[in-house]
Amino acid sequence: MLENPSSYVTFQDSTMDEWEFVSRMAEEADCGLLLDVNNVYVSSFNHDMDPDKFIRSLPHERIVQFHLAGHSNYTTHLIDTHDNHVIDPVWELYRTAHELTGGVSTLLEWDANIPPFPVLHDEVLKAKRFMGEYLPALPAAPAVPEEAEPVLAMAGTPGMPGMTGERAPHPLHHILPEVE
Amino acid sequence: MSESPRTLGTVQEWFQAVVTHPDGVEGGVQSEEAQALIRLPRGELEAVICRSRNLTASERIGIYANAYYAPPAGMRGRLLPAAQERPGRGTFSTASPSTTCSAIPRGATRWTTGRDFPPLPGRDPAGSGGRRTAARRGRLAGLPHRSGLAGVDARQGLRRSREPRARPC
Repeated sequence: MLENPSSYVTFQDSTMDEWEFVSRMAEEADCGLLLDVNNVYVSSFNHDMDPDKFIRSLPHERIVQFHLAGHSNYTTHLIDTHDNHVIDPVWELYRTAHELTGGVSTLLEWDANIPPFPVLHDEVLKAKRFMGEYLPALPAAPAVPEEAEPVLAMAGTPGMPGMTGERAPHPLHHILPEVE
Repeated sequence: MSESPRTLGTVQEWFQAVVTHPDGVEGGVQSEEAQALIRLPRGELEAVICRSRNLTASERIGIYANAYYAPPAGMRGRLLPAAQERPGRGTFSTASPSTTCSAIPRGATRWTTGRDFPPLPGRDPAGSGGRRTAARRGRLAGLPHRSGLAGVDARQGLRRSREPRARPC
């Protein structure tokens, strides 16, 4: 899986636009794409490109994850700094990307000037609202025969499920519902 | 976009030679290493790097050159405050770029990036305020390897390039 970068220069020797390069690279490598929506916006601003055209030109069937982030605006150029809220134009691109892909998972990147947890959590919930419009519901887990279910074998560990022969919980058991 | 005999490898090596040069973009372009890869007369940077609607070629590649030295130097001061205090700030701030970079953990490449990016004159990040910019420029003033550059005055940030404005490619 390869991710589109944020960039700040273009070269006279370039022979194709970035979206064409990313698309051809993914096709040749037969790999998935991690679409960083903020990177599309940052590079498009810096290189006088149309970010909507960028996203619409990609092979959407290859996109397996989105990244969202904030950036720093220096008026003449943008820097991908992961230190702020996602701005509205990036949310709009994210909506478009969800429409085109049918919805894939999202990672919100915020790794500098990290705000209090409620602020960060609100940003995640905002992403989740967009996702809810397009992400298909998870299919129900198939029924597993009783005898095939795994049993934790941690004998000798007092208090552990293996002591009483309890079945191992499904991995999704550990994912708690989001606090709205 | 134009046809050229330059290969991708040549452009990549030239780019690295320019942005990692301790004398800044102009010094990097004129360096022996860069000139051996792509021979460029002064003021001809746009033969390799396109300008954008807002920035000249020199300003654009300068973003990478500044990112190469300024954040590691700032991070080193925060990560190793003892090293900064014991020999004295002057001694610390004259450390070579290579020493500065070697002192930074590999994982610490982005977490203070935004704080350390020097803005162009009069172009603060929206909503950041002038005090933050002044502090950033103050830190830059302590970087001797940047202070004597043509095109860069570390006490005032990046000077505007004299390159004429032309149509972006």
